[in-house]
Amino acid sequence: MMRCSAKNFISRLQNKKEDALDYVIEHYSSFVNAIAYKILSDINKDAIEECVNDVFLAIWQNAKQFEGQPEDFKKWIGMLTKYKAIDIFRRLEKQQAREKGDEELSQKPDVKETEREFLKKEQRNDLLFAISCLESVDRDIFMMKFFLQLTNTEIAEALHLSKAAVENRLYRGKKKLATSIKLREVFI
Amino acid sequence: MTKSYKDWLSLDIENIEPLEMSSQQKDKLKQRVFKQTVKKRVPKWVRHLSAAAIIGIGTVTTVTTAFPTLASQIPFMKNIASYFNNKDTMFENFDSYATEIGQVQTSNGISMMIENAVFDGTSLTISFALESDTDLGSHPFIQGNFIDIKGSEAMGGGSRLEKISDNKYVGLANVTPYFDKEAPEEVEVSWTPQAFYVNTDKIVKGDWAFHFKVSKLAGELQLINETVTNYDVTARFTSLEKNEMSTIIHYEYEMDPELLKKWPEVTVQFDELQDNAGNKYTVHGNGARSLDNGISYKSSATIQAIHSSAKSITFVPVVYFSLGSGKGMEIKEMDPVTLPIK
Repeated sequence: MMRCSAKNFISRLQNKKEDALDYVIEHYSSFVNAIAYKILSDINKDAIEECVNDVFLAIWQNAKQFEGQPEDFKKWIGMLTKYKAIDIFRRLEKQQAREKGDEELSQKPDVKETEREFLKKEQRNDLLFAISCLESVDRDIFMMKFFLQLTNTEIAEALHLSKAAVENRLYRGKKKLATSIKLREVFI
Repeated sequence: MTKSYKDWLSLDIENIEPLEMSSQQKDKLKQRVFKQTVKKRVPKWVRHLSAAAIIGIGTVTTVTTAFPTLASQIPFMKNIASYFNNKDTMFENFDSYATEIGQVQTSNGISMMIENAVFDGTSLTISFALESDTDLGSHPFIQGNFIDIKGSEAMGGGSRLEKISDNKYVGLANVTPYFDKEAPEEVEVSWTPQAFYVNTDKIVKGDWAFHFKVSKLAGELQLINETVTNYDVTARFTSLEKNEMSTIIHYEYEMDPELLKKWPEVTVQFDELQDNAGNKYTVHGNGARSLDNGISYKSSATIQAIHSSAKSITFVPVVYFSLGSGKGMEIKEMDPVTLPIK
C-alpha cells in the first residue's frame, strides 16, 4: 500500500484518500489551531473549533483547486484560516454588539450586511477558495474586498498602501480573474 | 473586547507558534469533516439523479452484453437512508455508523440490493433498494422469508419501501431479535424474499437470497430503576443502552390481570421525548414481548444517541387499552417519567 508522505499528500488529498486527511490533520492542525486561537480566543472558545473544522472541511472538499508545491500548502492553509477566523470574529463581534442593546435602534440597515446574509455559508467557502488561488499581495486585497467586504480605504490602511494603489491592484486583478469563468461568476 | 477585527488583518501568520491539538480533538475533527461531507453530497446527487439514471442505463446495457453475470453485482444506489425523513430519529445518522454490505441479486427482472446495515445491540437496521423492469406501484410489499437472525428466539419489526423514480425503489427495514442470552457481538443475517406484491392482480415472483454478518456497535449499559403506576398498569424503566448512533430505553410493564377481561391488549409506549437541554427526540418503538399471555411485557424504544451534554430525559408514557384488532381503543397518559443520564 502507498503511504502518505510530504511529497504525495496533495495529490492523495485531491483524490480523497482518507490517509491524506489524516496526514494533513497531523501536520497542519497545530498551525491552523494556533491561528484560530490567536484571533478568536478572547471572543468565544467554541468559535475556535468552528473555524478549525470549517478550514479542514473546505480543504477536504476543494483540494482540487489547490495548485502548487507542498511548500505553498502551508501558506495557503494559513491564509484560509486567517480570513475564515477574521470573518467569524467579525460576525461574533457584531452579534455581541447587538446583544448589548440600545445602539441597535439607531442603526440603519446596512446594505452590505444584507448582501452578506444572502451569501450562504457554502458559497462563502467557495469564494474564500477562489480568492486563495491568487498571487500573494493581490490575494490579501481580494480577501478583504470580496470576502470581508471592506472599503478600499480600510484595505489601504490595513496593508499600509495608498488608496490609489489598492484601486490599481484591484483593477488589474479583476482583469486577470476575468479569464477564469468560475471566478467571473463570483466577481462580476 | 479590546481588539477590533481590523487589528487582525495584519497578523503575521508565518511566524506563529504552533498550538498542538490533542489526539481526541484531532479524531473529532476528522469525524466531523467526514460526516459533513457525506451530508453535503446527498442533495447534489439527488439533483443529478435523472442524469445519473440515464448514464446508469447506458452503462448497464453495455456491461450486460459483455459480462451478463457481473452486471448484477454492481450496487446501483447510494445513501439510501437519506431518502427518508429521519430527522431526530435513530436513523438520522444511520449511514455514518453502518457497515457496507453492497450485495445485489437479480431475479425475474428485479434487482434487489442491500446497501448498509447496523446492529445497535437491540435492533438491526438495513437499507436496501430495488430496480425493476416492471412497475411495482408506489408501495410494493415483500413476500417470503423476512429478515432472520441466527440464534434469535423471536423477531419483531417491519420495513418501508418507496418508489423514487420510474423503476427504482428505496427501503429501510428494522427488526428486533430476541435472544435467550445476551445479544451476540456479531449477528448473522439472512433475508430471502420470494415475491414482490403490488396488489391481488400483480405479483412478481423470484429468488433473492442475502446472507451477511454485522458487528454490534460498541456501547455501554446504564442500569436504572424508575417506576410509574396509573390505571392498574405499572411501567418500570430498567436500563439505557448507549452507543454512538442510538440510545435504547429498556422497560417492562405489567397490569392487574382483571384489567385484561375488559381490555385484552394493553400496551405502553411513548412517541417523543426531550432532554433537560430541550433537545427533542422521535421515538422508534421496538415492539414488546409477553410470555404470560399479556399480563407482563418486556419492551424497548430507540432514539437517536442522546446529546452528550444531557443530564436527563423526560417523556410521558401512554397506555393503549385495546379490544384487539381495531374493535375499539382507549388511550390514557401516565405521569411523566424522568430518567437520569450518566
